[in-house]
Amino acid sequence: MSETEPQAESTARSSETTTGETDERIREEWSDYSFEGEAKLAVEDLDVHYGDDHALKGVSMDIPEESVTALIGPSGCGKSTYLRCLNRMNDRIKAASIDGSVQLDGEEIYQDGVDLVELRKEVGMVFQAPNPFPKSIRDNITYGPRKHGDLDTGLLARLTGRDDSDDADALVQRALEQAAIWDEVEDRLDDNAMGLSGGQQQRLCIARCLAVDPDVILMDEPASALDPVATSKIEDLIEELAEDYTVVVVTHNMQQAARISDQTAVFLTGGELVEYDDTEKIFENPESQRVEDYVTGKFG
Amino acid sequence: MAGATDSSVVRGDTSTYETVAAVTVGLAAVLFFLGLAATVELVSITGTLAGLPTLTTLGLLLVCMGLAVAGFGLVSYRGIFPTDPRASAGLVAAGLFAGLWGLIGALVFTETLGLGLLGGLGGGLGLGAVAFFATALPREDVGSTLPAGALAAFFGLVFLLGIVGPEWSWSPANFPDSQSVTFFARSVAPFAVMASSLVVGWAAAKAYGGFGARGRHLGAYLLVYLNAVAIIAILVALVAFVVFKGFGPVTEGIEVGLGVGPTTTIGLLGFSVDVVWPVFWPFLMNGASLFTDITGVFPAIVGTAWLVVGAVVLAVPLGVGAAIFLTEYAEQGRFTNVVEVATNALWSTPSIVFGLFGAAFLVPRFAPQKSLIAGMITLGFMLLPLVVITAREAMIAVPDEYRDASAALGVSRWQTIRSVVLPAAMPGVVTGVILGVGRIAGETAPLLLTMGGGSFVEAGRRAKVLGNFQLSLSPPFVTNPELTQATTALPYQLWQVVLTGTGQTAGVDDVTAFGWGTALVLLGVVLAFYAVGIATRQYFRSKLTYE
Amino acid sequence: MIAVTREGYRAALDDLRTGVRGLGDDALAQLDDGLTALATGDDDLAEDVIDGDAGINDRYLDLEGDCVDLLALQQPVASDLRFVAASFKILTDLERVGDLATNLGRYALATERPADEVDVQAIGADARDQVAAALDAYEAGDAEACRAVAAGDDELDAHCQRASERVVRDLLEGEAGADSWAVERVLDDVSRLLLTIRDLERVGDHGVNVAARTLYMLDNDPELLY
Repeated sequence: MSETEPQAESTARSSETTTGETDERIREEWSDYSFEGEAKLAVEDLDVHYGDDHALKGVSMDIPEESVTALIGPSGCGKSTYLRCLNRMNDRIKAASIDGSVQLDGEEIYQDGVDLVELRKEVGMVFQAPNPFPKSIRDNITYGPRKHGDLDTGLLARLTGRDDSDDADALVQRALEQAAIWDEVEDRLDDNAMGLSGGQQQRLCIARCLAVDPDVILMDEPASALDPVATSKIEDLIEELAEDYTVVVVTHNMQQAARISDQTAVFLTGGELVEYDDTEKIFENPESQRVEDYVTGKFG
Repeated sequence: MAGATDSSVVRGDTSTYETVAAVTVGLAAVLFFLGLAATVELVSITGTLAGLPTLTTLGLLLVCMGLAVAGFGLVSYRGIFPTDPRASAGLVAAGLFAGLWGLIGALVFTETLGLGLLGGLGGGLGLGAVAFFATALPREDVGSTLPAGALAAFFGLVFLLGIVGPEWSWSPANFPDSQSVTFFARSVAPFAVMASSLVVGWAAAKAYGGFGARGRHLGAYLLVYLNAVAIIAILVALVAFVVFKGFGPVTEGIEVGLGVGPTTTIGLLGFSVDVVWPVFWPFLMNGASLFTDITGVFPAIVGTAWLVVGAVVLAVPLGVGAAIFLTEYAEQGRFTNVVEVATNALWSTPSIVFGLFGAAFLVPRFAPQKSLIAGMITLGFMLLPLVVITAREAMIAVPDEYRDASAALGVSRWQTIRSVVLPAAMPGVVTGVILGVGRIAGETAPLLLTMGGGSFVEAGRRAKVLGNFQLSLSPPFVTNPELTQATTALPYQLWQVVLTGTGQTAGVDDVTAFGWGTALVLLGVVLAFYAVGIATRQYFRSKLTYE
Repeated sequence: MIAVTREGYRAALDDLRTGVRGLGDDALAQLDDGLTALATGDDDLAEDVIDGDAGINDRYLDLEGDCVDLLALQQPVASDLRFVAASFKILTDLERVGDLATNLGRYALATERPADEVDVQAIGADARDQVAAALDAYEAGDAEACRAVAAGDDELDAHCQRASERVVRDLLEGEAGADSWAVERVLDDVSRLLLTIRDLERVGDHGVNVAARTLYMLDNDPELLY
């Protein structure tokens, strides 16, 4: 056996400088990036225009269930746009036009007759800046189920004795435990949510999202407004959630993507999806030179 | 002079110079308020102040301050005290002094020297130009102080030397259209005092601050502060005056004791209870009748209360609904802009126009005569634009993040508005209602045209709205004859008493006192509504924030 | 008050520690077998030792991959970073020990008679114990034990030196005038013996390396890393 250290694996990386043709070839090669398990969300040829601005160019990728998929890339590269297409939040922007196909469990969500309420119950979202309602913690958590009619805790229900207060309490506890914040707030559930710290507010928003029992959780830079300790707690939470939910996280922090995700998609400027693979591959040995340059920080 | 040397960062102790400047500033403030008091005759120009004739005292103070201010300028110019003046006092100050001195010059040249209109004009321009250059050309310390000190000293000397004494008056000869106007000392002197004290105070404050940036800051601060205090003083004086004048009439004849007051019957579900009030407050509880000693304003209070309630009931749902539509549903474009302009215009419309509208469209609808409900609706329309404006502002101020979060949970837009946006906007809406109620409770003109009648009625003939709802077989299926009666309200009552002089026929002996009493009661009622509004707003706010 | 976070990462670090220990134990087992084969002349055992090297190399590559993954995906810093960097190097030394054990197996196959002039077994036991002590120090995080290992290496080196000299002296003093075949055989035996002693000394040196890297990992002290 050789006495020298084993060589680090060197792959035949395209030595040409970034060219469209090379990336085309790469895209074809990994466009059937395969993984074990089912695809929870299947996106094909998604194009988004904000007026004249072509924000997303022909993106196709499948998102596996019960795992963490990270979307990384420089600012303005379309990753948040892509995320918001998955639960049709882009519909709220008047200037946005969306083409292409997004399938949730095999059902197309951009066809006529799709119930947005049901869609958003299945696909929940957590935003960058924590945005709890200015209500009590309990009311924040039960807001979704109450508005959907699943929980009735109104005055009339209480008077007729048919209210769901017990269910509501159980739901609140379950959601807060899942979001790893139950211990910190269990004795002040009726206090206003605005009194919590930033990290706690974000976990409350996650709990609020979990309370409607989604299958998919979309997170748009969930920890970017938080300090490192709070960020760490959110990251641990994401890893835990991935055991039961499909989590898609947009982050501009590459190291965070490396820490928490199972697979990573790299978007680069102009709304292109350049590479999508297992996280180890992206961070140890990416196929595309542009991705290599991005993750090593040669450009951002 | 213990001129403390200061490094550029650390200021030393206060020196004599600064102390004198501070005292001058204080004196100037005192003089300003003396002048203000003199305009309302609290200090009499023709009387005495501190032992001497008023004008003499004022003149003395003015001369002292003028000399002191000139002294500051000199001390600073000579470098006896270290200051940091700019190269010039600036065009604004120059223009101000030019105006003041130009006015003085014109008057002096016209009247005192008898040179006529042209002479006056020439003199005014000349003196004004001199003052302008005297302020703008020299260094800031000289330019700010000399013209100011000279102004104060001038007026001071004029008063001291008796050129303008307590009996002085002046009718300008060449007033247009052969009108004649007479200026009296008691009307002119206070303004002269106030103007002098303002400029002297400003110059002294600048001197205190060493004429640099700090000096200018202190000068401006003094003027702003005096202005704010003056406004508050006027406001307090107004309220105090009303209270002072009205307290006597209002509290006349109060008795406290068991069984003293009127009887109220409370009937509920077949049981009725007679409650005798332990207090008898005639002004508030009586109407006008032959059997009472003291005429009261009870029907007017009831009328005002019902008007406000009716207006709020009409305006708030409509206004909030319109605001919801404009903010949440309508596309921000030409339509919403037009509506915004129209709403603002409506809010600025004179109240008499609303009154005419009411008289033309509402009064004939409900009854052959003017009616309470016509008044309610008119006032409601007056309140409506303000509610729309403030509700809209309040809802726009609710952050979009709440709406996004709600949408991401799959909640429909209307539910979001109802459960998230409206509760968050409520404090703003309530503020608008409070402001609007303050305005409409005091409106008289619309009431003249739509509701006014029976201002001197007995207490028993007030509008008893609560007990009089009746069902009927024909539309609108619910009627209330009380609503269609003409009745009175406090501002209307006040107008009737003061202006039409009908009080005496209704058994009111001292009409003026009655008027003051009514004004005080109106003030009290409006403040009571404010208190309710503020409590409501506090309640909504507490639900939104963390305690 | 600070809750434990990044449990997956902590678990990965523990797995690495266990993995390195495991590789070390395997290498020591190979060494033991190699020494036994030398002592007993058991050719089957010697074959097993030679074949077992492939397994050690595979484990070694896996663990190196784990180190790279940890660095790329978890961005360890401070003591964690020193731990991963040290483990990286220690793995190399342990793999080398495995290779040297294989050499012992080869010598055992080639020799017909057991080598008993010098106490190869004693030297082998000392070297083996040195590596084991270093591994224990790594697993337990014991800085003093590291220093003790380094201290003991001088004696091992001296022992090996003496043993080599004895072998050469015996060669020079004995078996003169024998036939050329006998001379050949003696020369082969002697050179194999010398290589064995040298290899065992190297094993000890690798043990010291392990201890040195461990001390660096624990105290950031490069004292032993001449």
